[in-house]
Amino acid sequence: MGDIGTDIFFATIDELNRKLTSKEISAEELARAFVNRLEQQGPRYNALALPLLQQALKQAKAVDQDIKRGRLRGPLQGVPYGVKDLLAYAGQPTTWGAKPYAAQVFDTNAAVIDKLSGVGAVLAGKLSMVELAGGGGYRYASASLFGPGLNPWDRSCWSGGSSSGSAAAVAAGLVPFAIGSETSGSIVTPASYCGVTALRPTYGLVSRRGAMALSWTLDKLGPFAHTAEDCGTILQAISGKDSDDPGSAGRSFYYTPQYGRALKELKIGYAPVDFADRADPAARPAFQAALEAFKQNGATMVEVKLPQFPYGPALSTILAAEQGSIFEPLITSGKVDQLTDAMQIAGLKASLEVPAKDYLKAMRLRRLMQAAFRRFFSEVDAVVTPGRPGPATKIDQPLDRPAPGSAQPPEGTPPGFQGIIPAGNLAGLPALVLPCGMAGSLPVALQVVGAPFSENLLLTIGRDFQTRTDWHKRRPPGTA
Amino acid sequence: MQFTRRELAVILAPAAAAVAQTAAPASPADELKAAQARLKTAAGALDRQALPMSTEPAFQFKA
Repeated sequence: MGDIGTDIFFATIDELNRKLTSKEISAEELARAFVNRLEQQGPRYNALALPLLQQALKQAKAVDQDIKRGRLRGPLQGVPYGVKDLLAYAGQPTTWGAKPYAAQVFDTNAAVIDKLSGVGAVLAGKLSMVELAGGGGYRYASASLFGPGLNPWDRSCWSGGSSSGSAAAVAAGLVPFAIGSETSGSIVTPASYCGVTALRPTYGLVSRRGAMALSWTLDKLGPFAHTAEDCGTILQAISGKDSDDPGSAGRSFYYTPQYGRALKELKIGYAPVDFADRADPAARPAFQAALEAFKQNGATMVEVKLPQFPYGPALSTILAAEQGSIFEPLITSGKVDQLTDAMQIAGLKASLEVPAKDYLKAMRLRRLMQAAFRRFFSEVDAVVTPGRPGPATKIDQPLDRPAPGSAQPPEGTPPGFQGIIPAGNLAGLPALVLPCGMAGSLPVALQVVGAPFSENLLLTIGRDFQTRTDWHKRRPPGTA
Repeated sequence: MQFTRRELAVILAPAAAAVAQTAAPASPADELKAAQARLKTAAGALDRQALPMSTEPAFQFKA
């Protein structure tokens, strides 16, 4: 193999698969190139938790043998990837991004890692994250065993959390795809801030066996990648029934773009205020241009309102009650004080005190929210909003205070879909994040949210957007 | 561009209020009180929602 250049580090899964099956490059060469790059450049963004060179090379050699013998296992065969460090990988540290768990080692793999191994994907390394996925709430981007996640587009800015390393590594071309998790915003936020495509699947579609539990009724695992197409391919590989995950929906996902509904048959909702007064002033031109580009897809666009519920309070109550039970040993042992962020420590301690009546009330309200979204999605097929109202914040920006330049809508401004992240997570809805423009030197993104199990529809919408725009192909400066 | 003091006060008021509301607590004890207060505020928001008696919690138990 000669100089493989840099284009390959930003290639799609389909492009890599063609190079592998045509034997233009071997899986071993590809694994070595990506793990070396991850090891060398991952620390620039505090994105790397653990490189896995020897394991990756062993796996890649087996893949090369399979390809040589004509045992083709699909588009992910030989493709390297990374996982958020909350997924167990047998015999290696799984830190959950937190000092009290720095030496933790499991003896089995997480279900998604086994599933990806089964289709021949090659695990290149584990990626950084906010400590304990930030469930207690955190004030600073530095709330991580690995330091603050630095944004590949501007290292003075945050990569977002809690799947910080998963988003930054894909954005910087350190892995072709990565697996992250979301309880409330941990896929959507870093994907938006880093300008990568990502999919938060419907609750229960991807097994969480072997993943750190933060909130049993909210946790989901999903892919970060370069395109919507790639997200569909990855989701097909990692979805499916798992009797070891009580939240499993008991169904699989088959990515079937050939059977996608025609966009002109779709009705897509939006709230104009999300692209105007509710967006950061610096991001408004990008969002408005993106909305115009989005509207060219032929679907009928209609103005809609988010069903009104106290989404934030319901989510914080459920999350607190469940994480309080999950991390009770950490909290009562006092080891919680080893965490980095004072707000996170206090949030976890306080979570032991949630009254049962509050948790039950929030969980009962969730039923009404589900019913409201069933009605909502009988009126529209999907809804489009900004992924986040603005670009990534500065690395030292306190996250519990408004950032300079953030939207300060005048009193009386309609709420738009500002509650869509907790709402979507409470109702278990899928969301697809699509890079859609730049606010200065930083990317911004749209999110398309649909009814439970409507991933194929969201991916059809995303693929169309990405055939008419090239934001998903942009590379951060200095990543060549 | 020049502002009168009154105009400047109007412009800065929301940001100042937001900062005042969320200023970082000084000690771990204050931090814990702030976290407890956030949960109490959330509970208050939930209490204002009316719920039909027949609405069951959204978790599953399979026998």
